Order: sequence, then structure tokens, then C-alpha cells
Amino acid sequence: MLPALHAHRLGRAYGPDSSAAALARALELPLGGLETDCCLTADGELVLLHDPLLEAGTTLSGWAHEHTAAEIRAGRLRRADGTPSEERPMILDELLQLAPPGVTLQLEVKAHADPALARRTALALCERLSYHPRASGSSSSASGPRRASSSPGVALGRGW
Amino acid sequence: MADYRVDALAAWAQRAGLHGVCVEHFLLSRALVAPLLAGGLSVTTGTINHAALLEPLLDLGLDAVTSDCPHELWAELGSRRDTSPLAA
Repeated sequence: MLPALHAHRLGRAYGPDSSAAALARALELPLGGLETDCCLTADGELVLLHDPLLEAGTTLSGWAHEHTAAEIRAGRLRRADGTPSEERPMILDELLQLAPPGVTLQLEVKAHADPALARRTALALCERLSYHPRASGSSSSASGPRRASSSPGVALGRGW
Repeated sequence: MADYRVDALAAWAQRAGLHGVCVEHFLLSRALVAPLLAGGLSVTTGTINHAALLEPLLDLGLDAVTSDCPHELWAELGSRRDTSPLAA
């Protein structure tokens, strides 16, 4: 059996990294999962950005954890060539609403070289997911089938 | 001292309550993946955008592959795709 295919950064080839536009195009055809990155904001939200250093992927500057979600949402995502797009950074709740049932979410914690921030981000992520029905797929897989493709849910990871 | 044998790591991951691991594709081998799978872990890999990179890994039993362009990769896989869970 071939492995399931997950869209990296919600489909990086289809739009700005982790954007709603990329996600929409990625979901035009069947997909096994969606991969993206989570950064904690100053007000405890989770924004979907590959790089917590905002100038790396957005029209903003500074670190994600130094800004509120509203401030980050006011910026725009940059395209692969660096030009600003019309796309705003997404928050995790948007993804949870848009992701179809049965599609695995692969969520990476991003907290550049800051273990304490990584821990806070992971805890915020777990807390947020605990309120979402999708999380039941993840927790039930603790003693269930190991194959990600047969146990849709949430997979958490860490990236620096 | 930590034990870095793959089967020991798989056992540690199980005790720690982990469900799986994600390993960069250029680090994958049967010697690494087989003990992880045997240890009950899900094994996924990082970004692969070309079928030529994925083909040598297809028989390792990976659970998922991440790609910037999953649909193009899917098309490139050609005849082997009818055995993918995506074909269901």
C-alpha cells in the first residue's frame, strides 16, 4: 500500500505558505492529510506560520509571540518569490473548521530556539484541540491502529 | 546513558505514549523503519515533491508522505497509485 499524501504547509505549491488559498486548492482533490506549523501569539492564539520570525513569511516584523493574533492577522502572507499576497495568516481555529473530516492534521510546534516557548505552544495546542471533536481521533489512536492513514486525527510534532 | 538502538528508541517512544515519528526522507532505510513499525509506531516522512525520490521508499511501509504538491506527486506515481489509501 502506498503512503497517504499530506499537503506540506497546506499545499505550498498552490499558494502562500499555510494560506487559505493554498488550502482550498489542496482540497480540490482527495488528500490524506494537511501539514502546517503553529506559533503562539502574545494573547495565547495559535497562528499558522512556518517561521515565527514574521519578516520571513509575512509583511510584518518581529516574533510571533510578541504580537497579538489581531496584529498578525492584519499582515499579509508573502508568496514564494517574496512579494506580498492578499492572504492573511490563518489561525488554528480556521483550519479546524475548514479541514474535512477524515483528513489527518499534522501540526508542528514552532518556537525558534526557545524550549519554554515551545512548551507553552504545545500546551496551548493541546488545550485548543481538547475542545475540538477532531481531537477524539487522536486520543483514541493511543491504543488503536498505528497507520496514520487509517486513523484520521491530529499528529503533533516539533520544529525549531 | 541513552540507548540509541532503533528498537530501544521504539520501545521508549511507546512507553512515552508517542504514536509515531516523522523522519526526513534522506535518513530513511529499512534498517530504521522496520523496527519502528514493529514497535507499533506510525512512520511518516518530510517533504518529497518528486516521484523519483519517493519510489525507492515505497516498499518501506511508510504511513504518510508530506509534499508541497501532493496532487502532482500523486499523478507522477502513475500505476502504483491504485494501491494508495487515497484511491479509496
